[in-house]
Amino acid sequence: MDKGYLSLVLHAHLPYVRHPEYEFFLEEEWLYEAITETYIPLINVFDSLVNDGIDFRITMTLTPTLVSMLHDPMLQDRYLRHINLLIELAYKEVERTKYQPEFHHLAIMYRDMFLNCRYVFEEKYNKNLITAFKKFAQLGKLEIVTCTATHAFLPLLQQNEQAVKAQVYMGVKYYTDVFGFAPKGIWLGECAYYPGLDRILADNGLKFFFVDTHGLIYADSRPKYGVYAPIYCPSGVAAFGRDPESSHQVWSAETGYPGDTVYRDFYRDAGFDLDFNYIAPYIHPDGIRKMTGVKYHSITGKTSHKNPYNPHAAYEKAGDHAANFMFNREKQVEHLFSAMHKKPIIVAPYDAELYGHWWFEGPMFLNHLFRKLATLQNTVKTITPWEYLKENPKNQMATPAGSSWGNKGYYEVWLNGTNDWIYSHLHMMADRMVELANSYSEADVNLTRALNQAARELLLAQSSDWPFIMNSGTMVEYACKRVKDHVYRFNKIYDGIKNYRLDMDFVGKCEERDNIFPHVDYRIYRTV
Amino acid sequence: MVTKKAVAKKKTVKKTATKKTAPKKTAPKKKASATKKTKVKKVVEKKTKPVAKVAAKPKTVAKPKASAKIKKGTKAKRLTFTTDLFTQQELLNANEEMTLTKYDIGAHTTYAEYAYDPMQTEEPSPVYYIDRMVILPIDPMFAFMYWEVKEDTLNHFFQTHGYDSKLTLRVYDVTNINFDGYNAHEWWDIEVFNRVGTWYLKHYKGDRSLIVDVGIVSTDGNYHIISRSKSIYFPRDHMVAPGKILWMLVDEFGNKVISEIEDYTDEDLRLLRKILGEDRFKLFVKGGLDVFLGGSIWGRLPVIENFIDLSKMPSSGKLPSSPGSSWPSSPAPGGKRG
Repeated sequence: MDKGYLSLVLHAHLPYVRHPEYEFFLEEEWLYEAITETYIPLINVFDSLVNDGIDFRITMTLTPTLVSMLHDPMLQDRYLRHINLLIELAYKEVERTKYQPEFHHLAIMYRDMFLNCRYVFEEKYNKNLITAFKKFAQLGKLEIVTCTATHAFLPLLQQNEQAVKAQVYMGVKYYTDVFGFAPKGIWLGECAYYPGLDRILADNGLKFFFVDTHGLIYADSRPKYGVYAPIYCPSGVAAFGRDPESSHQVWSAETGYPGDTVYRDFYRDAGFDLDFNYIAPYIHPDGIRKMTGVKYHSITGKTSHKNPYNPHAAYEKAGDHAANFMFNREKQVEHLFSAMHKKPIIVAPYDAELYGHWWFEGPMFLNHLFRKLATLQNTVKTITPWEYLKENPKNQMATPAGSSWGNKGYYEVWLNGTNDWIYSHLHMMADRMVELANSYSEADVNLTRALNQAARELLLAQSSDWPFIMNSGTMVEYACKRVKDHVYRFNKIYDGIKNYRLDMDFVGKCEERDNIFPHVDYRIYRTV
Repeated sequence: MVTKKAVAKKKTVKKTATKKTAPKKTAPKKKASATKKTKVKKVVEKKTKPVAKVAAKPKTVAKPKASAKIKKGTKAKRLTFTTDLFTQQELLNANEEMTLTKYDIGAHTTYAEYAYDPMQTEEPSPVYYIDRMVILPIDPMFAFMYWEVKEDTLNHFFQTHGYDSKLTLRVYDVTNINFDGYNAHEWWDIEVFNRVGTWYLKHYKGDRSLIVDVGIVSTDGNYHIISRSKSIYFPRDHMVAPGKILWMLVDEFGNKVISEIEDYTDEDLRLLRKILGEDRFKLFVKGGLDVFLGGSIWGRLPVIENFIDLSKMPSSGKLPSSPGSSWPSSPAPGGKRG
């Protein structure tokens, strides 16, 4: 008999990075690597589970910025160029390593993997991976939740409530346009919540969201079941709390799976290891070495010497780890069920890119896990949050505490000495956008284009990724440039409108570059 | 661009602004890690031990993670777990480091390459020629403030109220009250010297609401507001006291019914202890940022170099003992309200 539920949540997100002005742009590869190493392997796992009749449930966020990029024809074509180059490299590697048996089979593995990526991307899903995820959603295996329009960090935008409302509204609207049905749930950018935000979610028809453990434990009424049952905010929207146990099992040093020594090493990459002249066509055209995704070594240990990667051992290990994870969830559920006298729900959210991109064997682990859960036990059942709420419509009412899943649990990662300068601009842009929207209930074609583009620039500037990257201390230049670009473009359009000197040539260039949300309507910022 | 550091360093604060020295940052954190380590390890071992029956080689599961060599040209690092502690902070750290690897492709575009961008961007102006005061919450103890006062406004205020007036931020504790300008629980004055500036504020506890004004204090002691911030709420850092438990029923169409109300009992507390586990329960009950080891105030000094510690500043005004009565030390009625 099922004694409880496991809800795995994969948060798939990348900021909107699209640079038509450059033939090659390094940061666009964030997307290409994630497609090759995470999204397509996950799709393959889901496909294989469906084909084998394995019953499973998983929840994924596909953020509007990620969906927009996966939809974009230019980025689709560039991904094809990227994967074709990798295939060419992989063929050369098969040839190069033919007298190195410890690496040769790996070269063949990469060749086959890249060929499969091209097949899945181009032929199977016609360059649009969204159709794959939509298919699993329609089969009832995958629940896709939305996110705020550009993964904004809402607690720091509440200075202008309309800006928060617009982020939520666009997240729901864009999802509905793309998938053809409205989302039931939302992943708040960085799991960041502040009391009162749930009312805006309720106004947009959303039924649930997620908070970190302390967001629920520190709610304004003590949660009777801790994080093992959701709470309803007074608005009627449910908040699910993260289970620290299952997160720990994947990330901890003590029992964390991805650090196992047999798994593939992330940093040893052919892009850095091979002779420059040989690898030059496959790195940046300016000669900047970068990762290629062809990696021949295992983690091995705390040593600079790395052993050749053994995919068979890694596959076995992923199976062991899946068994370990399942066993611990069974024990956890039995313990909780005996204490709570009702079925607990264990919510285990992870960055989707953990699976595949960082932890190469992550998709294998999921494949093993779902198969084992479906066939080897009947204590834990996988479920989606919406299914759980339909089954359990009565829950405790409380308002979660302000929190995020960032370092130290609150908002500091996104607001500190490295990134605080952006907020005066973001708040001013939001105020100005509301001012413009209130001034023009109707507008002619050109003015409408300019106002809509101003809205896009504002939304893009609000991505939480930029302050996050500034805080990290790496790749800071790009994050700073992005914020400054959007501030500049917004303010130039604002000044043009206010001074009746609208430069439509400039607006056109902005439209070409920052083309997210083609159907955005600036009136979402109206407050009157 | 005027950076935050540059702005902050120019300023001085009349009231006590505490600066801590770096060595204090890590000491308490390490001590905490060391003492907790063995305790939590025991719990983890208990959980993983039976795995032997299912997973063939459990000892490999428990192996500490290796830190890999970092390639030339990359600044990123492998997730480093230096302790086997199971704390909320470890998970949160891992979240952050994991997210960073999404952006790690071994190289990144630099400023020099942006020179080829045909659509050049100008540096944003640090001022917008408006009067405004903004305060943002950071965590249960810290907030960030920024303000701008137009030169014209400042000149006008000085002309009207005297050139010896002082530009001043007034911070009000407005927790659970409908603030009318005079009924704050407490308030503090912070003299500032720049009409455009930023500052970090340390508050003494979470679960409070603050409002800040930027204005001037004239020589007669009256406060004249130039701009008022919106109210901000500091996130709660503790479990609330036991109270009523409300149960709500929400149907598929969003109709809500509060179906039952019950008291939170000792039995409920025992249940929470059981399901959270003893160690985590204790941390959460204790509350405060200690829940997140490394989340103490010392941990944030590297990024917050200048801040005002309200707990170390004498309050400029206190709530009178009888709630609802007028506030004797409140700003003079003649003061302009924003």
